[in-house]
Amino acid sequence: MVMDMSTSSHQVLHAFCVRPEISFEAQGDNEEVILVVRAHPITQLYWIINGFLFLIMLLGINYFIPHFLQSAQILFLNAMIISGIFTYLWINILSWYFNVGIITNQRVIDVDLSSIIYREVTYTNLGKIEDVTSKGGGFIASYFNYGNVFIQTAGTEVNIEFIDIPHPADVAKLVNQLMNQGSEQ
Amino acid sequence: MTNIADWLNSGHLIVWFFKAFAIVFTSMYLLFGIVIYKQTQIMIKTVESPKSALMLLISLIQIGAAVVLLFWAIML
Repeated sequence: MVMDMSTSSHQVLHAFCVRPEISFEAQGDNEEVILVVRAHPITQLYWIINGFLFLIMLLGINYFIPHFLQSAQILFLNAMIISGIFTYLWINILSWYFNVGIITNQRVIDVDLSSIIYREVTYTNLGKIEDVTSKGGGFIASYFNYGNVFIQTAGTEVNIEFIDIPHPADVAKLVNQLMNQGSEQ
Repeated sequence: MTNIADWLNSGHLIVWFFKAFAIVFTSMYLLFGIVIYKQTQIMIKTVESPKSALMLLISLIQIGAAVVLLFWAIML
């Protein structure tokens, strides 16, 4: 199946957005965002399950709370734990949302946000790309069609990695197409 | 001396320990909420989307929740 990259669309729960209404810092005047990719939602399932398990554990903990604590203290403890679970989920949502790969008609941008505190933004011009590799493997990755795309740049430049993104082969193909268009011009 | 022993036996120690723990924990939680908010602000500048305002609002709600918890811990 060949992806249509000419019309705007959001697929795989906003993990594969074609021509979205997204702009980025240092975007050029004639620079057009063609594709925005995030990790496939299925790879994020573990923290959603963890969140539910924490909530179930909270219900369990209430049975074992020491009797010497007052009801106001028990209520406060519950509120504190619920806030903690909310924060855990929110950090993971932010990490997923802002770990993004952007492909424009001029550049490839890799935005990484890990543990909320550390962020890294890598820009590479299409002309500096030497090699594009898409890798996918395993039962779940094959079933849901997600994998990694590695973009190798010239010399000592930082390489770009899009991890667990949907349709990795299509992404690699798009980058190759854009590289060829750039070299023809 | 007997007064101290009575105070310890009456459960005040647990109440004070709980309160101290609650204040320290919620203060740290508030600090963490502010860090998340600031980081969200930076990230929505890096990648601007129509959902940016919503992301910032949720981060702000988290700070609000932390402030409420801190006051609750003080009043506990």
